[in-house]
Amino acid sequence: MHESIRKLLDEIGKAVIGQQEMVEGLLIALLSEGHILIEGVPGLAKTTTVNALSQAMGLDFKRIQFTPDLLPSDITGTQIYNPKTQEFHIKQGPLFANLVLADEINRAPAKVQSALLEAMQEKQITIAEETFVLPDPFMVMATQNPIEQEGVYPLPEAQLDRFMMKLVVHHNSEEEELEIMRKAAKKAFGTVTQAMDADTLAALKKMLDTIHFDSEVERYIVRLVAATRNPAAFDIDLPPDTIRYGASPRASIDLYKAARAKAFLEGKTYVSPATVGLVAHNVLRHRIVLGYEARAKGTSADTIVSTILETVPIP
Amino acid sequence: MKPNLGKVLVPLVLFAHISLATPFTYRIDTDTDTPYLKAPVHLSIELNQTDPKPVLLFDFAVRKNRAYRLEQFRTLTDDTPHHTHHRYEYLLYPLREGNISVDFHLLQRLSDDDKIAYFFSGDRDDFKKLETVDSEVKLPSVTLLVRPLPPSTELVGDFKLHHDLSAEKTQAYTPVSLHIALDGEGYPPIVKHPLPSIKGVKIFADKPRIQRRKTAHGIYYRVTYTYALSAAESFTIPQRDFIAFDPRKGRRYTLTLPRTRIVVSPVDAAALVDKHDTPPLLEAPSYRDIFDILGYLLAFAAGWIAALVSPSFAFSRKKRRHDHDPFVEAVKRTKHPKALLSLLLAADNRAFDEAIKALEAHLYDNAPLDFKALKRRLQTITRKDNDA
Repeated sequence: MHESIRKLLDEIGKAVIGQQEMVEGLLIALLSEGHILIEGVPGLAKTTTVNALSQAMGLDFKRIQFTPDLLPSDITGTQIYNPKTQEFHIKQGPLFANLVLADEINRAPAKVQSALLEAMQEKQITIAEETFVLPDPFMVMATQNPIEQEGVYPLPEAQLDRFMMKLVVHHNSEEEELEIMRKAAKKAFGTVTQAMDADTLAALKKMLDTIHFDSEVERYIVRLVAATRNPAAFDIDLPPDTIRYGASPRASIDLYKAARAKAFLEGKTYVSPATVGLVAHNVLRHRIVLGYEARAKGTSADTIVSTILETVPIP
Repeated sequence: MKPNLGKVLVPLVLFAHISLATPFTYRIDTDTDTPYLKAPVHLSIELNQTDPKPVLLFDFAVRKNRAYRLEQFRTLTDDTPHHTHHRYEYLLYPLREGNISVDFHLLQRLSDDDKIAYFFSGDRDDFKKLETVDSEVKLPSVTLLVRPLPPSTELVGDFKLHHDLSAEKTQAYTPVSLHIALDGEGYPPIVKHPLPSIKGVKIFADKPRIQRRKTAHGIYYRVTYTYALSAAESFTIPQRDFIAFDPRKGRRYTLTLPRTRIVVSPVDAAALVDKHDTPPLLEAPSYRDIFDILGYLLAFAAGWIAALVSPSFAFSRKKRRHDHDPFVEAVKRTKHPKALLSLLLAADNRAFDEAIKALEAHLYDNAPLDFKALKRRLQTITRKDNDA
């Protein structure tokens, strides 16, 4: 593992106990210039983790709580009239930060979701005919409520596709929770200090290009994604109409980038099929749209990804 | 009735600057200071900014009092900065004889252009309060000497009586409808018993319907009383006199509902019974109903017994699942490291990370691997995972 990455993880570890998968997911997205969607119950250190990451990297961090009455200008920014100077000036919204935690993204109506996702894609925002480039690095970590809850506006498939990975955050283990409880009671969590800066991050991103990607592994990625669209072609036995839509080509790109970043984080010089398999669930689970019957039977996208990983031959 | 609100006659006029420091003048007018009981008094209040320096706002109201009823008649508010002009007009109906006093509430609110601009620069999420310097201004009360009405007066104002009877001949128990309407300008013509009770007649009464609209001179009311009269024999609606008083003309007059005879012809009571749609009589319960009830009881008992038996059944299933975990079985069946790697990747479980690394190193870095030992370790991890 690269020395600066190890130091960064040490600093984050002062504030966050456990949740290695979430921390690893954040680093993968940061290195690959992607965004992350997180699903999990409240209280699993989502905000703490992003906050710790921003402090350890000396980056700006903003948190936006999405509510049904939120307007696009509330997150992007707006023009404000100054009665003293009799002029309008632009007040930039909370999206102008390096790390943005968009909490409960599906509580806000479609136009606000759209404004956020457009900023994620374009990495720039236009306010009153003036276009502002968002800071670099720019990463959004969005959390969403389960769609069964009241008052949620589900994200359309096209917008979900813009998230590089969807992480499912689970509760900590018994030992980890014991440690959290003791440290919280004694206020013994350490202070996170800066271990990396934006320039180092830029240098690390360049180093990703040195990671070797075998053509067989590249083909394995394409096969995994193709199997989500046409499982029968890979002898995957699923009831008809189980999958309504498979993953898009953007999934292949993100799976490639995520596997490369994971290999780099693990200190490897090449990407193996196992590395691809380890990030496949996170990259593909939100991109597979199941049919009505499959959902009624309780089939999940994770089950489909598992079946694909089990069936598609490893090179 | 002749309109008189527009008349020049102004018996009571109060017109003044409150003090030298006050940037406005006021004017309070009434068309009479000796009204009759329930006779409308036209009350107008005018507030006019005279000093254009400050931005002036008013908060005005006539104080409520049980001695009178108040109707807002017309309002003109012009809040143009530096030139505020308000005019309020009310119709006041005295409800008590003798001297009554009408009091006012007036709040003077001073601001300036900068504060107004600041207030307007706010928005939905950043609301900015308008800052004002408020002070209560004492306006003089208006005193009215209320005169009593002539005895037995029921209506005060200029009213007309209309009545409409649906038929003068009917059959027994077939109701006739009667509408009595009082309309005109004055105190609302709501009378307690417009139609007296009639012996042998069932009177169905609806709530009086009150309509009102503003005219140039006052408020026009129309109150309609609706009745349905049903009887077995002929009857007579008695004459009803409404004693009224017009305060503007000082005239007492009477409105009369005339005496009317309603001829009721008898009908055969047996012919009134519905012979076609009469519901069938209730039958005694049949054996079929008893079998149905027994069936329900049997189903309930079966469910209850199943609930008692199910825990032991679930336990036995859990035990079987523990012994024959499909993942453990699948691990046992694998014969090649690649197949095992596929299986572990599909499981998406961080507990298998070490095993995946070992397989990866063996497959792609030619590291040595004890395949059987790895499979045994995986079975142990899976069982521990299931127990947790």
